[in-house]
Amino acid sequence: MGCCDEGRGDVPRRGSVSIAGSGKVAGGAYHTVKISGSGRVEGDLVAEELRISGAGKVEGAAKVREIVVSGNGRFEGPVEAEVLQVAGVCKVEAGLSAKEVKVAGALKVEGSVKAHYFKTSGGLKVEGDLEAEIVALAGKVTVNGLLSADRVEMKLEDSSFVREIGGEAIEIRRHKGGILEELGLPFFRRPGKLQASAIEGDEVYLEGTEAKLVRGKKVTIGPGCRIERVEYEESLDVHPDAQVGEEVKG
Amino acid sequence: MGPQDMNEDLISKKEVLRLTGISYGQLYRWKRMGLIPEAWFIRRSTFTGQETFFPREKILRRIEEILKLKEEHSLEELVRILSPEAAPEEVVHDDPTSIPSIGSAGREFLWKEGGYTFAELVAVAAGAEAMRNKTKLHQARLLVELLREAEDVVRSPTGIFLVLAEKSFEREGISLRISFAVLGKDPVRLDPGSKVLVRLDLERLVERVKRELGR
Repeated sequence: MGCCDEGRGDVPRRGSVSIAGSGKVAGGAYHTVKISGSGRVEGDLVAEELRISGAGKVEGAAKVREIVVSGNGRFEGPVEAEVLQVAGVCKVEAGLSAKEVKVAGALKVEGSVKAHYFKTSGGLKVEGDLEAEIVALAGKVTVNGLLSADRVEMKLEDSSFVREIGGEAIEIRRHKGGILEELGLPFFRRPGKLQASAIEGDEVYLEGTEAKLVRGKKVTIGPGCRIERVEYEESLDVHPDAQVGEEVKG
Repeated sequence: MGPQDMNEDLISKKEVLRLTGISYGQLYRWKRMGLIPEAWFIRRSTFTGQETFFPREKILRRIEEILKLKEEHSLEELVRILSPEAAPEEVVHDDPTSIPSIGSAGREFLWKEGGYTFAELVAVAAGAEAMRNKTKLHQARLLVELLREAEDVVRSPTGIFLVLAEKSFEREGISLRISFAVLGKDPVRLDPGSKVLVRLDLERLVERVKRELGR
């Protein structure tokens, strides 16, 4: 199954196909699909490897061991992968499940994300929940559902929004100035901000965060925070440059 | 087997942590793994904003089970034991009649040699349960066929009921009887002329099959 308008003619099942220039491939099972230029897969795709450099689109569900997007990738169905690596822009119009996700650039997921290791720098938007063991995010982040992980690390730039964060260790820091700032050029960067309704963890460290409720065992409210209510069990530290409405122990 | 109503005894997340001594990290981890079903997280507004509650009895029993079993089993094994519906691909069963909920009453519903998934086992158990309630074989089969196609519902069965009903028509000396199976969130409403033959709480059925598999 599978053919292409341009490129290498007949493709046996589990064969490989590559589009150079522009073209399309029928959905099906392949070993490797390579799109350099502009191409699309019409239908569901099962493959070991999908490489998009340029612009590529999968018009169905993708079940691929390793996906590498450099340029622009778009998935109209759910994506299941072991590795998803993006340098550029990638949009998943349903759910994403992967062992390892690494993004430099922008990723938008219109469903929920399940992963083991999830790292993005640049822009991230998730319409549903984001669940992983380790989540490391830098840049502008929007998660409209729950962000849950054993370890959550965020480096804030610009303004971010996460409805709820829950996990073991949660660390939200404002981005340290880049080289220009170190040279004394403050540039036009506003300090990073995060807005959330609730943050819960065993160890919570926050900077630049505005939240209704923060709960944890050991809680540190760092500079630039505005928290309506903090509930803590063991310890609470509040930086002088932070505001906390209510502090409740126990 | 009362329906799960709004007044079910609830417990707040904070209270759960206090009573069981587990950490936030554990609670969120177990939720991610499916050890604590999504449907048990009930969001309610309180004076401090949104707060999460759980069905008291279920969550406390589940956490107790997890804490007890995790000494000897990995978390992945626990998922298989406690919530196979969260990982149905993990279950492949070759001898369904050895599961008490299915037993010999369920033999009639088997359609393949082996390799039954969790959802398929639940489907067969529903048929067997109907047979034990003295329904006719062709009627019980309707339940099995309905559930076989509903793996997604078996994954989150809270508040879902399975109803087998029949309705008779009598007109000009001809009588006609139709049977039908319905799967839906409680309360499942049928037209008043129909007679309910079997009504099963899917969550209970899932829990039972799960327990029996874990033995």
